[in-house]
Amino acid sequence: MCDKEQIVGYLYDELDAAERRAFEAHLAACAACRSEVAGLRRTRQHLTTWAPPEPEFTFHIVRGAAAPPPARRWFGFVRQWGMAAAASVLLLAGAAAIANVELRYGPEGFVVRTGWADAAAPVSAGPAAPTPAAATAVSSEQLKAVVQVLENRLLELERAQSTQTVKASATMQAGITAPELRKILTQNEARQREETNLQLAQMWKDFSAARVSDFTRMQDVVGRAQGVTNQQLRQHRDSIEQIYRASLSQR
Amino acid sequence: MASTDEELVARSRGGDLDSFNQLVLRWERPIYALAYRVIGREEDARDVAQETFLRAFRALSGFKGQAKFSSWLYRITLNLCRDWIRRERRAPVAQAPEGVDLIELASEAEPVESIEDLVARRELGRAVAKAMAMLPEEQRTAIVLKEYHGLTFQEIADLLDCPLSTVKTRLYQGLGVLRKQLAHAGVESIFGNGPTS
Repeated sequence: MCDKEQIVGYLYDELDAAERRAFEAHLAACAACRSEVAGLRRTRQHLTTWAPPEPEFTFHIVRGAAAPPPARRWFGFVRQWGMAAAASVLLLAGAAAIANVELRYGPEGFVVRTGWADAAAPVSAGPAAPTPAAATAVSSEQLKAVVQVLENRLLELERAQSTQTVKASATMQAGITAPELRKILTQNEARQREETNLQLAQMWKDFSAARVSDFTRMQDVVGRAQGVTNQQLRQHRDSIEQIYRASLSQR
Repeated sequence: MASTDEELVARSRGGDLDSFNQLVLRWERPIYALAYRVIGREEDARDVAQETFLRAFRALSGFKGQAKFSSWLYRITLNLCRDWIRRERRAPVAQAPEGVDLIELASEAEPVESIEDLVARRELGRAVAKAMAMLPEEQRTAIVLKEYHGLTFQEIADLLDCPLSTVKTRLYQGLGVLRKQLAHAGVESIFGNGPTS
């Protein structure tokens, strides 16, 4: 076989004019290269038949102002802020630009929301989102108010997480990424598996206890029955002996 | 007249989200297709595409335009695909639906393409997907970028951080393996193209 790089270059039409002419002259004289080029061309034709499935999404970046109804966006937003708040109250000064990015997946496709242009983000309970300079001037009352807002949001988050399983199917439309949803589902599955295993173990324990109890009762019953039977046998034997003795004495 | 990627990127960096949306709309399908062909799973490819745009969006301020926007997106996508392959520790799996719905196929058929031809094309597509899944990641990526995204040898070399000659070698070897795999799968005889070797 001749120069493989030349073959690839010719195949993908990436030879310059002079190289191309030279290679075509070579092809005219080299049957092995002609066969190789023809075979690889056929393979390339086959490759055109492989198409990915049609995706069912569109991505959009939207501003906060064009937000969909709050009921559909709070989950993702609070989730981000809840985690941030748990980390530190200091996020007030600078974290908004990072945390206030939301990715949703719904009927309208994927939506990425940013807080870049949304100065009145819900977390900023004050009149406007604090700039670093303004943040240093925040009064203790304002700080308390903001902390209160964050605490409320954390409570909402806890409530949301407690109903996560029920809402699993709805979360795809409520502001959560597909990997996050998969993680939640995996965790739920693991929890359910654990609960099922516990239930099975408990059932087995109950079953074993019931079996032992039943067996003991059966032994009791059989024993009692045997006792009764033995007593009856003894009585019969005694009766027969008495009858036998009586018959002997009469003789 | 439609804006160029560079113009849209510049406006996006200035805070114009509609411009970024246009970039997303322009590139979402190629990015998804790239991810799908590299990792072979539809749902994961969607996740990778989603993550690509999210990362691009977050890193837009750091994108100085040294490379084409599309190359930058491709690089992010390929890195994510590589992470996925490493994380999953498995080769990509070619997804192929088990059943073939003739009604669905008929609705997809070109006016000049019979259902038989369409079924045959689907079969061939599956064989190609399987053969592609058997390629080493480097060869598969090079072939995907060349065959389905039309990148030049040099663009692929830049994207994969490897010499030009390595790209050509990967393409040549990859095509050779595919050719053998397809012949082994009986593709040549089924589709009447004669022997391949």
